Amino acid sequence: MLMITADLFSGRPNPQWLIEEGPELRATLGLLSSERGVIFSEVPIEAGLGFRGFKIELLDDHLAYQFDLESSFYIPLEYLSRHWRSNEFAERLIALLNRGKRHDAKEFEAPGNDEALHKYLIEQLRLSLAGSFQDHLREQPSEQHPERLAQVCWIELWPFNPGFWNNDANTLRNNNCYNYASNWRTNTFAQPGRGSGHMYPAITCPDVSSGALSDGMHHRYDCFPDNEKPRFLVAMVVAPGPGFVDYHWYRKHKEGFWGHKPGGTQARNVDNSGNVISNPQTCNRGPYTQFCGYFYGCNTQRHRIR
Amino acid sequence: MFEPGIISAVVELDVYSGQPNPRWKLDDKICKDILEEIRHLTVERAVIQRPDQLGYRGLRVIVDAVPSHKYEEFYVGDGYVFLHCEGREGVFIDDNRRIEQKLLASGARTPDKKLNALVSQILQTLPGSQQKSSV
Repeated sequence: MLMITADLFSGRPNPQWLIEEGPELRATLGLLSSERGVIFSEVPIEAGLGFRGFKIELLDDHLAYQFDLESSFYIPLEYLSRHWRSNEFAERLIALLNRGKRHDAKEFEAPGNDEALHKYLIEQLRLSLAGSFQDHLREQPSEQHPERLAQVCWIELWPFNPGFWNNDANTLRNNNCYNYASNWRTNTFAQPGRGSGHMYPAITCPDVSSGALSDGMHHRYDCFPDNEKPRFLVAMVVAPGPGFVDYHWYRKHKEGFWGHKPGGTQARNVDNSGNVISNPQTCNRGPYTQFCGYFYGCNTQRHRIR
Repeated sequence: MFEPGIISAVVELDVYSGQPNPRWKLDDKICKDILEEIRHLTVERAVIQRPDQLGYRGLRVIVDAVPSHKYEEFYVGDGYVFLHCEGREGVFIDDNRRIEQKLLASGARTPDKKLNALVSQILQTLPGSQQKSSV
């Protein structure tokens, strides 16, 4: 058994949950023991107000011994740890809370508030991604685009978080490359243009691009305003056939590489040769040999996809 | 493993990234033959990952068995059969990719001409042994 304390309040006591041993808990501890960069001995000194992370206390030595963990440790959110997997663990811990029992006195809380608190934690985790540690990148056209040299666009690069897509079987199976590029889980195998009523008539670079543009994407260097954050840099490719005809998308991440999710398979940051993708134009894309170009996603577009 | 009295099975060609993968109903006789063949495959002891590259990866077969109508599935690709049953997965060696070829051949006989062309192309480039398809 262990105790999880969500470290988020300043004045009130933090909420605590007791979690019984079970497969989900063991899986999380197993992953933690192999990803020690996310584990801190205590809350990082620069932590301020708001949701900061989780304190974990193992209540017997059995789990500590088995997973080679200290009896008490801290998992900060990614904006404090600067570790790209921290928020994946935070998501796992939030999911575990559903299986636990509230342990603290629930001071100042209305009855039945647990569900609201759970939602609040998820929302805070999402906001911490949106506000605290996204990287903004200034995008300026090269001399290949003289007509746009004066243009400067700002985009957001978010950390690579494959666990969000891979850890749940339903999410894994029902979200594709377009969901991943849009960073929006619809569980519908989203198709470019379907949400805006202009689904591509054929799988060609111009037609699939039209579908995505109709959903609200822009061509690269056609800037979005700040109120359209997050504005992701994505790339689209096509497998032209004959026989095998399909399209595929990539999204650039904060770490500098590109991530993608081939259909119902796992999200990853490597190409068909197993190399980390630094350039979607030159990586091994198997039969997806036509490079169609770069685009910006935006908040309106990702809400529109179906 | 699978219960006796299979009534139907659906094959999903695991090939696309953007579009939904194509599916077709597997002939009952072929399904029974393949399930019987799987019973005699050699177990692979090494840890083998399902293929997950861009392009053709393999075939997922979803089996609907009576009387419980419990859906079970197995996955065939890269020279292996990945049998998923009651939350566990066993891996077996698909000698000369015989089961994979049989399943692909069943897709080449459907009325869908686009699917026929795709499956025929995969079959042509599918090696009898361990090479990978170029599709």
